[in-house]
Amino acid sequence: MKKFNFMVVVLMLVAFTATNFAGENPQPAAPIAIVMKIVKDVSFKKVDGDWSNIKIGQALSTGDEIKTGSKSLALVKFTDNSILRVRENCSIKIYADKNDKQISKNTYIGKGGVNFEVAKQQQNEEFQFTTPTMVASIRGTKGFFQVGDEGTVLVLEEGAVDYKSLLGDQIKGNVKGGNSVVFTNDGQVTVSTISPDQQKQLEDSKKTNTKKIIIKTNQGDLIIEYLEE
Amino acid sequence: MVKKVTFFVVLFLLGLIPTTFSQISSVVSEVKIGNAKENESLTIEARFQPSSSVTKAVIGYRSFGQNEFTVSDMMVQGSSAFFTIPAAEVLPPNIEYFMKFSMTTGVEETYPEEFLKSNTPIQIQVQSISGKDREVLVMSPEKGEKILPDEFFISISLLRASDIVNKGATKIYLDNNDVTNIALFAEDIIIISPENFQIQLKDGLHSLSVELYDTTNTLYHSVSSQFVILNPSYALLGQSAINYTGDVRFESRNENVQTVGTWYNNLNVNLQADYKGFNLQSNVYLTSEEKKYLQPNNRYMVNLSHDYGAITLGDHYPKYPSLVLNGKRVRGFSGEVNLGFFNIQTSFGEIYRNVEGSIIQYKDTLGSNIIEVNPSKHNGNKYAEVNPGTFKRSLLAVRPSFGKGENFQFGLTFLHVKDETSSIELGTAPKENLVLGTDLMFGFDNQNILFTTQAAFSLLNNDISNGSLSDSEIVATFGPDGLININPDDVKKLRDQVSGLFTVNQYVTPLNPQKLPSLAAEAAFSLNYFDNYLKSSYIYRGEQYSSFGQSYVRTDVAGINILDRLRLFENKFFVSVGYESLQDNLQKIKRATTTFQTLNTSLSFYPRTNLPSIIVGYTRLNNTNGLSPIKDPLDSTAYLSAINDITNRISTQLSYNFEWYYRHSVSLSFVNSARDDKSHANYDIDNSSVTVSSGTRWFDNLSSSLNISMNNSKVDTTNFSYVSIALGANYSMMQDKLLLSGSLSPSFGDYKRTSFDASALYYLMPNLTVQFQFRYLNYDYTSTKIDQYTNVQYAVKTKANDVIMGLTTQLYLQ
Amino acid sequence: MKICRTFLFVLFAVLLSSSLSAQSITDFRLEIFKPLPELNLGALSIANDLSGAPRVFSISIVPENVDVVLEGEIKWTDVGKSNSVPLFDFKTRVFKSKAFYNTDLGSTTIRIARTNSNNSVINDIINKGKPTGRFEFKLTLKNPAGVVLRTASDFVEFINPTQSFTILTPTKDAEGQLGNILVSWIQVPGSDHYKIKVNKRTNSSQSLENALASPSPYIDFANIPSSKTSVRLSDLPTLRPLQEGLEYVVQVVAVIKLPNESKELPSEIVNFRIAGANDARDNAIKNSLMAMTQSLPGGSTFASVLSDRNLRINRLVDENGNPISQDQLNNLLMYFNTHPDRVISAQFIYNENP
Repeated sequence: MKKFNFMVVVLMLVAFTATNFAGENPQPAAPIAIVMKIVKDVSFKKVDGDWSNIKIGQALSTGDEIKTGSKSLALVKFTDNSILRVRENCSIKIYADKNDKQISKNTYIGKGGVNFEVAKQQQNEEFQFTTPTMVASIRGTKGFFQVGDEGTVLVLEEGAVDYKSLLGDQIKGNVKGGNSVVFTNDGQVTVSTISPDQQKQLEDSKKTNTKKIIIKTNQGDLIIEYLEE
Repeated sequence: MVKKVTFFVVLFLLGLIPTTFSQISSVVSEVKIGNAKENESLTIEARFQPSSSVTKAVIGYRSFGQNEFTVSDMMVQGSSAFFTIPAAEVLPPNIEYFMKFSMTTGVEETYPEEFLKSNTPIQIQVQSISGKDREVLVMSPEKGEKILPDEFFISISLLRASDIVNKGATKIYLDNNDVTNIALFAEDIIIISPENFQIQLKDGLHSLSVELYDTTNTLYHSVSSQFVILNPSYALLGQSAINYTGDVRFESRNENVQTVGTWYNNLNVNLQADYKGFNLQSNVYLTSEEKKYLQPNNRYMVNLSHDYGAITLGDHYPKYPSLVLNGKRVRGFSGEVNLGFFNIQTSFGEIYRNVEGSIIQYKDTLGSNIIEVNPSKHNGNKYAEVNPGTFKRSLLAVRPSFGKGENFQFGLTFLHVKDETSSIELGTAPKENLVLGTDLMFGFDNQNILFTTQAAFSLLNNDISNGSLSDSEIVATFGPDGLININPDDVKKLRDQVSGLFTVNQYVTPLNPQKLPSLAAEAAFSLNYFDNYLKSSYIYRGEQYSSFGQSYVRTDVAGINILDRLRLFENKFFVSVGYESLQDNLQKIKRATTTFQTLNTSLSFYPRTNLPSIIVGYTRLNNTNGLSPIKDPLDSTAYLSAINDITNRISTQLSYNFEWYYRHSVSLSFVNSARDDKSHANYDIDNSSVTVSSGTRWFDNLSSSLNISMNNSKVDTTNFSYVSIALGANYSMMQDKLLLSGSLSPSFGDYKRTSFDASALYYLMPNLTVQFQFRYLNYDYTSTKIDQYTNVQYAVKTKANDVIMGLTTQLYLQ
Repeated sequence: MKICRTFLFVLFAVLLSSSLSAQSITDFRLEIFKPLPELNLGALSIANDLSGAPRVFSISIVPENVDVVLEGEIKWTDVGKSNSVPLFDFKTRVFKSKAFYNTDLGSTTIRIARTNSNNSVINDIINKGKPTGRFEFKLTLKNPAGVVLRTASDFVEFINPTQSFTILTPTKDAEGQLGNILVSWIQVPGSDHYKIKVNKRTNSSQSLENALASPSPYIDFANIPSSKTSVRLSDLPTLRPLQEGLEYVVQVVAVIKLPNESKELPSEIVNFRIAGANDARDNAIKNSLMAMTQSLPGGSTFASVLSDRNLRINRLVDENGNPISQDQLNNLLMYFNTHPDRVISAQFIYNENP
């Protein structure tokens, strides 16, 4: 079953990439996003490259992957001002298809949590998220994805999202702000209003500011770095 | 047309420069404001006059059409205050503001100064939003963003720029300087990455402007934004990206102790820099305590290190296997190459400098502390009684090793230390020491399983003043005509085999190397699993083991040591038990063997809720050598040498924080140590103290402390008891720039003493402090003195007034 | 090995060899200079090397200038044994009576006629590395005709003071009240007196040895009689006043008087802290930090830093250098306890120290 999931996702992504680049000469991929902030352990990988440490200001192009370690964080900003906050122990891969001033994006979330703030998309543009269990199309909204072994949870703060489960009956639907959608591995899709826990998770996922307490002692400084409350 | 455009550009550029106001003010030297645009946040920076000491700053602002000012606190940082007016409040045609500052003196001032009288605020013009603004997106730094210098980079998105814009012709200005040439253009994105950006931005407000040109090279549109660079002096602490850090500390102190006044002045400079994987560290410490007739107290050191090696020059403490060389100051050179599979480390230099001795009197014959002197230098005298000087002692150490030390390492260590006999004239018994060591470690599972072992063998020559024995001395001493009838050739052969490496004469120890009296060895095995750390070790230190690379190593002992540290209940409980059993008399040269047993236990509880934390410790030291002054009263050796001694020490500490009107911390501690000495001296001790200390935080800037301790002790048959009280307070002023503290502590009973302490610490800048300390002591107690000649004790009344004053300044560089 | 045997052989040859001639001897005495807790084999090995030869015993014969012959026998009792074994005997040539030291033996005036030694016993002693056990000296003074005039005897027992010498209190890292720091140690049999030195330790990264060796010690007292094995620091003359809230190190040195030198046996160095005024506040902060940092990677490092009693808290600031109140810190620490995931890192950066 898991194998099947994987195949579906791979096929989808290949199809996405193939259609996007059909008829074009291969060119060095243009950057579509910038890494604005990193906390602790964040690495990235170019399409044909190896994993390496990332620096702030790193430009990302289609096919680039990012993964974060424990208590780590990456903030990615797209050229259309859309923002992804990649939380700890997360891996994502970004895809983009540019057509004149329109740029369609797809972010594959392998695991972990990603908070998104997608800027209003222009006509013929879309911002897609793909996980092993679902695909969601967003035209301008805020929310949070949590991808785990059990499936995917989408918590939508505002706006609207079109989704489709990739497994089971491949249920399609639309959800509005204030709701959450759970996509399970057996293809079940459950829509409900955001629970207090989810609300808290959503709020936490937005936080990217790190702060410090410096305790100055006669022997040295104890420095505690933490994510803002 | 061209003129018109030029005029427009000039006008435009003028508009880009953050507007600087310089109204007359005794507080504000200038005000920097970015380009005010409709619905964009607007940052205002007020810079202070150097002499002003602002503790608080507030800003009042109102949009066009509003009657009331919105008043908010500004962020005061260093010599500036910042505030960002929210985007929604920035509306055309203008926005008005004023500022108010509170000084450390209590005086308040406004900006503009006449605001209170005239009620006329300052006006800032607000530009209306343009549709073209959306075509340029400044992704980083964001508008009004406050960032650290090392987080700064520029990225601009032109994704939405009109088709008539020539993206490649875009110009970028930072604080009115054209920085386009270092920008990287990648289709829709323009990036100036931190690597390309070599200019160090000063902390404070900065402006970024972007000009777009159309395909005809005519200015199409421009946008600008502001951001604030933060002072990194604190924020950067501890981050890996530090390029250089340093601190300079100067201390001057006068101690007037029992009418003797002494000045202590010292200067310490530390610098550290990183560059492309290289790390440079240097330290200079100069003190007034440096004296030619003492070992050096000044320190000079520079160290350059890299993953694959390091070199150090000056005063340093090379680290070799602990039995051989560790913790000893070497003035000289150390170098190491670390390739992983093979590493080599070497050190050489002096560990003692030569200090000449002095002559007490001339003598006719040799004797204790009487040495031969050169008659030509000493008026024909051949012998003199001297205060012996110190020979220059030089050290050479080499350690090749194999393996990285993560999972495996095997090393061999060679150490040779020798006094330079010619370095001083008036000295006795120069020495020489040779140590050969080996060490081995195995670590598994990230060293959670760790085995380490080391062994070393030493040779010591206690007097090399006459060098190795000469052929004639050997023949005279050994052989048929000498006192000892053995083959002198054997002695010569031995001497020649080690010549150059070690001096062979009658003062070499050990004489019985086969019995290993100069072998030192130890092995340890540790396991670190399930929140439990268990370590067991065995040590063996021969009676004559001696390494001059060690300041202190306990010899003539062998035994085991077991330590177990356990963490329980999510790291709230710590239990630690240690047991050590050692025995001396390894070479069986003493009548009795002493067994030293130590049991050390402690239990700590650090709750994460509001409960008291508790630390309880118990230590038992038991030393016995089986002799008894009672059993053998007539055997004088047994009587005097008997050791039978048990000491029990119990300590408890409770600490508790609670809120009762104010925030309090209370700590209660009890310590008792009792020694039962069954030797002939019968030196029993019973010593207890109970201490209650409390701290109260009255306000954020005022706290006080009260400590009361009761002490009772009995040594032999003498009782000694006293009570001491300490009352202290800490107060901070001027936004924590000035920290004042003082305490008064009298003691009553058998120990009479009063002390008064005061200290003022002032932050001239966040990284520059000045501290003044004052201490006054008055004590009046009966002390036991011992007559130097008769060893008889007598009591003396001592009265003393000591005064200590010190001034310390410290500067951190980052 | 042969060399080693030679050393001991020479030692006793030198120790005892003498001769006298007849007349009425009124006084004949042997005195070993005691205490003689230990003896270095090398120090006495060669008769002609005066620079290192100490005076260990004296023999006095009254009146002087009488021709005499001296015979001697040394018996040795090993440690733990009760029976003695003959070790060495000798006879001098005829010499003129006088008072002399062992350093005069073998000189031109007192020549040795014969010596005889028990080599297997000498080997045993050399194997031990130092003279050990009990040595009994029996001297017989004869006239040149072989008539016994007088006898004299003395013995020496080598205690070989322990090299392992420990301080009992204060225990390592202990904390005490300023007026009540009692330093006590295990007695060192054979010691002549004790010395004590106290110095300040500026921070916990300074080694105990360096702390003790730093200039201007606080206490440096050289004369505690050997009968005492404990001293209260406030009873000793201080060179600089000790201060509350600071950490100090102490070392006791047992001084052994040997024939030509004083040998010093140092104890290990022990660190202790004198309780201070802000202890309650600092302990509260340290304990909260201890609870919080234990769950972090490297928690054990913090445990060692925070459990250091010498650690004093000077100031609390945030990333911009703005002060944080103790309440704010407490609230944050409580928050971290319930949200350990918010803590990204915690590290301790030691001050540089000279």
